[in-house]
Amino acid sequence: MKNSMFKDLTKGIWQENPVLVLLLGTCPTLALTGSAVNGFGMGCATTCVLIGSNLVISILAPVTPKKIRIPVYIVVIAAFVTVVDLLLQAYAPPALYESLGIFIPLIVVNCIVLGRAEAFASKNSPFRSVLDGIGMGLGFTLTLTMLGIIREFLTCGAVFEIKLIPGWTTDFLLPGAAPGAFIIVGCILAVKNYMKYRAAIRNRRLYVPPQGLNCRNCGICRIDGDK
Amino acid sequence: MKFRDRESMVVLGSFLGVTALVAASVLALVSIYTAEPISKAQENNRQKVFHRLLLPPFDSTAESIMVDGCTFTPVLNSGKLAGFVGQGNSRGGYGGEIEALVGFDLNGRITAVQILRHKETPGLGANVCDRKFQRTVFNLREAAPEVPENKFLDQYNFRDSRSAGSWRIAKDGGEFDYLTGATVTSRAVTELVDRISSVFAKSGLINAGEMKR
Repeated sequence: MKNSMFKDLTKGIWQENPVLVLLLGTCPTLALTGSAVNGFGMGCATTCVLIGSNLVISILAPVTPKKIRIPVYIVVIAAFVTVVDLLLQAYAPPALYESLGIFIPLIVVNCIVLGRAEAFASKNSPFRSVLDGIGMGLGFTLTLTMLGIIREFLTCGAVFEIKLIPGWTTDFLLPGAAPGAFIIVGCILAVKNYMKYRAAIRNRRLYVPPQGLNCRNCGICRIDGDK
Repeated sequence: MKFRDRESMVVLGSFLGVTALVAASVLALVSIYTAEPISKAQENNRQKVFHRLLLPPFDSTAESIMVDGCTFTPVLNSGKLAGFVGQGNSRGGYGGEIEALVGFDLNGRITAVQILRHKETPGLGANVCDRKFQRTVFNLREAAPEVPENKFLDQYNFRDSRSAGSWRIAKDGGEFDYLTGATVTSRAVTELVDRISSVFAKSGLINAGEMKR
């Protein structure tokens, strides 16, 4: 039991990383990782929403009629996003709020949040759902921050706005733009898949996707089967 | 009766309604509690930007005046007029709107230019608009200057607003430097500063201020 709880917390970081394995939340991943600070800020905002929405949805799920569960989840998620938005406006550094800008309200339609609500929180206890939210949020934040560091370094030789190599050229703009982000995410995915593939060969077995990723366990597109 | 059915329209509707109601009341509460910090943060931000315009010392601002699409805010030092802050925006940017603040002293000269909002290309057009202190591993402990320099924005400093009206970048036959590769942004910024300055000069606000003095 203890082992499985630990797994709920850590699976989001590597094994079921929302960006690199589930390939969810690509919009903020490409749009907001131009600098490490932005990536980290977006990751933290999403984590707060994830933890809150997972908790409330796991409590509501047993009493929610199946037919309207998705509107109910969206209302809960939207409420949390608006709360985070207001709190950021009030207490975050103005420069950070300015650059995250319109992407904060867009967390509502971030697939990670709805995906975890439907695939995990609606089927598990509140405690485990919160653990899952923390884990997934951590995985998202770490990936976004890492991408931000890579892109910021490639565009201007800086990390967290501290220039490490003074003479670094600022003429190479590709990594700073969305297409560059796409290419970098692709490279990371390739490396990650290669590592998994090697590990599977080493253990002399076929690579099997984790349970939660299997379409058979997800009900999002099966509205008809509710009865 | 149909109402007893868990799946009936009435049950579904009221469940969704109750959820939305609870969510709305939570939001209302949070909104009430954060209203004050938000307005305070926005006011602080505005004040901070005003202080970065290198205006003569001032302690308060008076009500803004709209002239020809530009907004001018008089700044006061213990009740006396100390200068003006002009605010205007341009749609000529490469990535969208650019909003600028221009500080004027009582002689009608520009004290400094700050870009309040822009969406220019990071690393290119943004370099024309942003005043950012470049931190490197060698100056980690140095305090950042309050107004970091930007050679494209600093070239307007100390210019007389009455000479505005025909300010152009060098590529268009003017005298202002522009950043190669970011001509559109440079042109938009120069034209915006030019417009705010000439509107300010023509509005006669300086003379009105002198009378008050």
